[in-house]
Amino acid sequence: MSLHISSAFNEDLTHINAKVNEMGGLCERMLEASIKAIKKSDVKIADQIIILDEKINTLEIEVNEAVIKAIALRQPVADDLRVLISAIKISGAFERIGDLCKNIAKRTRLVLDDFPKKTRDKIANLGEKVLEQLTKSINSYTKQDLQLAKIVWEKDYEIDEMYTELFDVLLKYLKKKKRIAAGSHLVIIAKNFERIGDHTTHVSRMIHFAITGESLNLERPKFNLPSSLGENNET
Amino acid sequence: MSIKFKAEKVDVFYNEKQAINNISLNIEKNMITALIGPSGCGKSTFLRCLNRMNDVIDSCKITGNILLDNEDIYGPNIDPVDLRARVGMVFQKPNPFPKTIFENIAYGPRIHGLASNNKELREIVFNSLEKAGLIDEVKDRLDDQATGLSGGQQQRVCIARAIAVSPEVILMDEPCSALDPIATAKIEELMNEISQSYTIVIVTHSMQQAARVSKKTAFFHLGELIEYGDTDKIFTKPKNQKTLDYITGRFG
Repeated sequence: MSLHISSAFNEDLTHINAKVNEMGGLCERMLEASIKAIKKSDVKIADQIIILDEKINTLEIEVNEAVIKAIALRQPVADDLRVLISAIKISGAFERIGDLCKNIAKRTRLVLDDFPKKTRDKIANLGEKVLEQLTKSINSYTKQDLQLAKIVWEKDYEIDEMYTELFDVLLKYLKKKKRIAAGSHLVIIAKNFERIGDHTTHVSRMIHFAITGESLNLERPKFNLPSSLGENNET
Repeated sequence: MSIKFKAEKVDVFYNEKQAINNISLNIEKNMITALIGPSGCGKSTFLRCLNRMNDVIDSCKITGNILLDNEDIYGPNIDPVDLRARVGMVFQKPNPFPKTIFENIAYGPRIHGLASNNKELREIVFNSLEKAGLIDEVKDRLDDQATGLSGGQQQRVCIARAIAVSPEVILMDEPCSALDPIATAKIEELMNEISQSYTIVIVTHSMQQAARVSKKTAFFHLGELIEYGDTDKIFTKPKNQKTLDYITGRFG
């Protein structure tokens, strides 16, 4: 893409882009740490995640302010406008991912010792799948890689499937062991990973929109409801 | 939507120099069409072809066809003076006659014989000033010199003067470039209001103005029509790279 005649506008766009990238990098670190905290039963890691979330929140405010300033002062059109609108939306998604990681960390501190490694590993596997998607979506943003963004969008159903399967496993475990409070935290942790996957997909949709001006079709592969919900057999 | 102007393969030369190259463009009726492009791209030349303002330039030669309601405006039966009553023009710099406000508006209807008596003439003047959104500001000073008005008011006098001869089309060549933002907003609002009754073609260097006022936009570059389409599409997702580079202020 060729540069604008206004070097100040080029600098503004580069600056906003760098901040969004930084937010993506922080999300990656937080998600990675969340997985590690669950796998290794490490409370200290969970504490670090909470600190990183504050940094993401600050960056989101800075991105919003920089975009509003650029729109007010430059009156951007076409791809410039799409890039700026997408920056606001993507930074919003990253901010939510940060919140969800923080929530995972807080819950992890409460339940770590209560569950066998096998169960925690299953949740961590879901987290790792989500991390893989998040990394791809950040790479697609950095490299403006349309194909990669599309792959992330298409593959979200894999996370949904993993979550559905895990939900059933967790529910059966809860029923058997009668450990409702701690088990609920675990279900919510799994759900949070699944939601991070959704936000990651949203990021890839925004990248696609910024590059092409087209919204990705909302129809994509769907996942099944957890069987326990489908059967309505809650006790 | 019906077509008001149909330009077919129009070339314009000033002596040997070609200013416009093979332009075909349909301008729709009762709609605002904006012509944008860098200086020297041919947009004003094209605008001036639409009411034969280029006739007065000896070195100017035009080929191709320009049809107004399917009639060739360069055909043998067309009187340029009558044509310019049907296709009025407002210029970059407000250019009221050095006469009273009333006389500025009354001049056109009088020479075209549009009023049979003074009462009718006054009605035309009042109606025109009303349509131009100026009546409340000038109704008590119609005998004042038009040149004593503010720039924005003068430009609206010029629009009222154009409206007074009941044109079908109004051509505007950068009508707001000498005006402040408030006067500009008033002219743009006026254009929006009158566009239901008149076909308006505006040349503007302000992309924001083109985006704000027009339904269709044509982008000219080096005498060629690069892209023509709905304004919202041109400014959100242009098809041509040259259009994109121009509207976003990039190096072409």
